[in-house]
Amino acid sequence: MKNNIKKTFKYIMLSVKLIVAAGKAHVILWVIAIIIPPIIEILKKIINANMIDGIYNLLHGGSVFIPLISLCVLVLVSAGYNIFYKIQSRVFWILAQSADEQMMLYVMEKSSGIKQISFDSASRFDKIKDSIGSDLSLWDLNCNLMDFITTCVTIVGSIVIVKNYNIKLVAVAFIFSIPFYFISNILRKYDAESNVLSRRKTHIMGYYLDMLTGVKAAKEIRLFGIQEYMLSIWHGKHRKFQKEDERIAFRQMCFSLVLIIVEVLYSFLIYFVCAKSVIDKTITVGEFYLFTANFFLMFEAFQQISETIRSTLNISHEYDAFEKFTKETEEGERTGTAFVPTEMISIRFENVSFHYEDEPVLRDISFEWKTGENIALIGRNGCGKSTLIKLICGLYECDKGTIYINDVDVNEYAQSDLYKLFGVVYQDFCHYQLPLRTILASQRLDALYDDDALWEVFDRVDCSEVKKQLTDGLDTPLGREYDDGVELSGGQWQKLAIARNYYGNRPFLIFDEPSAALDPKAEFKIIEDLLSHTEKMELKSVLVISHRLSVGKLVDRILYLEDGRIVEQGTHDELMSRNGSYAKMYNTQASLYERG
Amino acid sequence: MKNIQLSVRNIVILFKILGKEQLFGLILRTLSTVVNIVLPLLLIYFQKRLIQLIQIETTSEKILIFSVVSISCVLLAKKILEIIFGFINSVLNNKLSCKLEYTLHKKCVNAQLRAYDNHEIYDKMTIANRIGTSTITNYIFAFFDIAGEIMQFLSSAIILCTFSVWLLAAALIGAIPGIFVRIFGNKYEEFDKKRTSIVRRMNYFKNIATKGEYTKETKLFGIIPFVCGEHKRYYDAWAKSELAYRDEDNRRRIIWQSATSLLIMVLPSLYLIWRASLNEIDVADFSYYLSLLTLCHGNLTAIINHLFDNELADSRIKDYFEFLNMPIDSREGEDIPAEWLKEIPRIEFQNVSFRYSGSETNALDNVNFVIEAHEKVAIVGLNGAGKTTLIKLLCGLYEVSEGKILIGGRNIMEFSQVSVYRLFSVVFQDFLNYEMPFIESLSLGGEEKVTAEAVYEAFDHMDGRNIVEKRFLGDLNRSVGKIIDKDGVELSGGEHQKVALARSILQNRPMIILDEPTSNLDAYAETAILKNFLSHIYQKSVVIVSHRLSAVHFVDKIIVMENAHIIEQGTHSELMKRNGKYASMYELQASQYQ
Repeated sequence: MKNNIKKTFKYIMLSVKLIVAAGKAHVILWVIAIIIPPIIEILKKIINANMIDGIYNLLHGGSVFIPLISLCVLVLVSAGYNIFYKIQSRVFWILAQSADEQMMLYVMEKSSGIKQISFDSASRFDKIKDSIGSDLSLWDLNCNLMDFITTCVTIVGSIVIVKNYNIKLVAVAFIFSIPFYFISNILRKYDAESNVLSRRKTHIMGYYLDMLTGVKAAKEIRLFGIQEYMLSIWHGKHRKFQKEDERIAFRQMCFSLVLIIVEVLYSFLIYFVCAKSVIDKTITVGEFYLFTANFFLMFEAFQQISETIRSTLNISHEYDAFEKFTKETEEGERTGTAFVPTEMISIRFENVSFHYEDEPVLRDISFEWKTGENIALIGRNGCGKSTLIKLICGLYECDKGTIYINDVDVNEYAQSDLYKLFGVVYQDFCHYQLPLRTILASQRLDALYDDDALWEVFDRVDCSEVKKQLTDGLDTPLGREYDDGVELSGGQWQKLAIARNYYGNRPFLIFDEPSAALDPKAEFKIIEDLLSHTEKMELKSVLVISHRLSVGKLVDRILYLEDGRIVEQGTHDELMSRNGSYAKMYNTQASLYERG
Repeated sequence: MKNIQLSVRNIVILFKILGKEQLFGLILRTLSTVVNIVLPLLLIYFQKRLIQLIQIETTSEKILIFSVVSISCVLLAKKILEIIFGFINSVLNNKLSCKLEYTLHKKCVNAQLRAYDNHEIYDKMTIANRIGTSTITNYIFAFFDIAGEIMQFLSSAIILCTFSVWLLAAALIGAIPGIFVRIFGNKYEEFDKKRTSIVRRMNYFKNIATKGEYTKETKLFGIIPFVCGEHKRYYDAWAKSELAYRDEDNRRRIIWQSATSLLIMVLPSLYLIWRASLNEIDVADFSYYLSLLTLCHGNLTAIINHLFDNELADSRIKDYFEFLNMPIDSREGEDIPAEWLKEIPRIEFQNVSFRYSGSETNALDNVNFVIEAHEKVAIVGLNGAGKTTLIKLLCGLYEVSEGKILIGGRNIMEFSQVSVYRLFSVVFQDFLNYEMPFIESLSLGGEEKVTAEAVYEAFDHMDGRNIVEKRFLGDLNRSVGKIIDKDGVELSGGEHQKVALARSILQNRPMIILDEPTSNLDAYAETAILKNFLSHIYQKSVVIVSHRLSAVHFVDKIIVMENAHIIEQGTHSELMKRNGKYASMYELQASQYQ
């Protein structure tokens, strides 16, 4: 608790700082915005009471001007306040927006700086998944602080009004508001429970909804004849959630009923005491209106304040998330000295091992890759090829052994610096929903408007069908994300990914299964072109992962990976004459062609 | 007029459904609506009585207590009713939306597949799905609300009238600014809809910066500054338009609110003060009539808002029912003969053409071929040649545009679509991963739940025994995937493919159709599967679609497709002799291994 309060205090200071940072004018406006509304509210009640008294006196020979003047003042005050309120909310809205925007950019920048391994390893990802991309808002805290102060002013104001009348009733108001604190605490808990439930519901029901109505599932649902089966699962889950929902709603209802009884008892008391005073001539009818209204206002404010305290404490949980986020992103990527690229670069692995969630993936890997050399990485599913690639381009750091770049330990260099050496097309490369131009130049944004060069790489991957669909040349948006975007097939996306890797013009190019979505004709063309890349552009080196072993003959060297080890290394002919694992795999595939 | 007709029809239909599902709830809700009409009026009246009492010095304590207690009781009843209302609403809401969604899903799963290709129908389907049944349930509760508001308005209007027609006039005229705002004001939803693309792009860039699947590229490419810049650009555009909207809205609101309060508060107050100065009313009447006026005005505003809101809901509900009445249900017809389930007879395509709705060219053009019983057929061709469409026609998902498909000499159209499906086990390229207990996912589409032995046997054929043993640790009741069950087992793409292939064997249907069956697998797995697979299902007819010719060249018949046509068909050696398209494709691939 003490800790919580300390933390809350810290966050309150933070939000005050936020306001101060926005400028002096804003501080003044902020203070006015907090104090004026409750005072105006009470002022309006006083004027109203005057008016009522004036009307009362009319019957007893009073002047008609008193109520008329009160009415005029009331109208003016309300109108003025209305306009003030609009202006204030406009200014605050702008402030809130810019605070949110800053926060969002902060989250984005920090999230993208988290180490890759934190995203890929399930246990590490579990730790960060709540904070990355979260919608943190500093402004909420500020609003809470505002609410708190405003409520306090309301309470003080209404106490000042009633203090000469009956100070005991203030204590009564306070006592009656105590149950609210506890019960609304319980209600809050139910709210949280039902929020969790509804999140889970959307998640799970969304899955079944896709199954029942989605395009992708339509074929199988029919052919398998499992329409009724899926419907019954859906129905069962729906019922289950519904029951839970009703259970929570019912309990909430019961607790709310208790609150209502307390509230009605309080109003009975207030009405009775005040009415009695009027009869005893201690107060006027106007004051009856004023005092009852004030006691109700005070009662609400007492409830409000407990609410605000709790939500401030709650928001401190949100700020825990913020702190957690900051802490987790603190340990970002490795920094170090800048790497100055040379004409010839060599990457050398020496006895490198790497494990992933306690499971060794790569063991004792040693090899060298130099500029100008083409390599094929071959092995069965799950032998560690994709992990090796991530180690090569520096996304992962090895557990044992050393990776040298130009004979210097890579750990001396900043990670982000080394990234610039590699152009990679992953197996699950991203289909950026962007204009064609930006997709092609995504690895070299400084050359975004070099149209000739862009067309050159585009033509190189033979995308004639895509070219026909381009409505706006290089500026045509691709993907469904745009309303007028051109959606491409898997093969076409793959060709674009290859083209953008060419355009990136980085010294080492890596292609993970570059032809999986292509038909044999296109596949052959792409692979040939890819491996002749070194000849076309000077000193470029290519590494290909492929299940098509025919690639092996086109490269300078083959690395054959088995169970996380490089078991064979050499040219195609060397490995074939060795008659080891590679030769066996090659023959299996080739034999499929010989049989006919 | 048309609108009213539509509303009436919608209300009638919905009440019928509600009456059938939740008669008790419906009655309860109706009762509480009626009670709720009276309570606010009573409250205002009792408050007036109290003020009158306290002006008299001789009022006894007993009378005073009675007066205050009556106020408290009304207050209590009103608040309790509000809470119970909320509860009944949520229960009714749940029940009704369950029923509505169920009906909708049932329609979807029993619709013809072409409904998904037809833009018009598919749009209707998405709209019906998206309106969210809350629109409909809110609509029906709004009906109660409107009824209540109208009754309340009438009663308070009558009381006002008995005092002065002018006050009623003020209430009526006071509603006009509100109507103007609703008619001429910018509607936020419409305004917001225009910006959905901005918001979508904003979120898209946020995702690129924060989601794990992008980071390995964004790091290497170094495009985070660009992504943040784009995000900021869209965010600024969003904020700017939002601010402009708010400014205009605020300006309008100030005018509207001032006009309303002038009509509802200021002028009536002046009038009442005048009447009071004539000693015709006292201070209790003053606040009594003002409260009545406010209540009356509130009712009117609520009615107007409901009417405008319902206009939108009306058209959406119409869409929902229109979709339900669309003639897209699966074809009815006689069941296929039971012996076909053991052995599928000859299938023949006669001059079959097929065109997707909205498309200008045929996806299949005058296609002729025969699949004999037990025959193994391969369909090869470049991407987009029409192979998958052919499969969908073969297994009955689509109906031909022209020509005929004969099974055992009889037109496929004579049989019910559902029974035709039962002849085929199909593994599509975009097969599904089912999130459910492993054994149930494997039993899908079979006659009964599969046994553990059958599962092991099937996976042996797939070179995938270790999926069962290592991934599921031999426990077939563990779930696949983590969406539904947190302790479920996540499989890789290749493993999922093996599961789908194993399922096709376990389904034990007379013809197996495989669309690109090995695209996620490595060379070893590919060979093992093709060999075992084909030998296991030796008794069955098999159709394999592939562009890896090595995988298929030993089948009984190869069908080569190009541009929606069959350009060649025959055995491998026949086609090689012909030296046509197939031969050149084969040479190209084989040359890579020589």
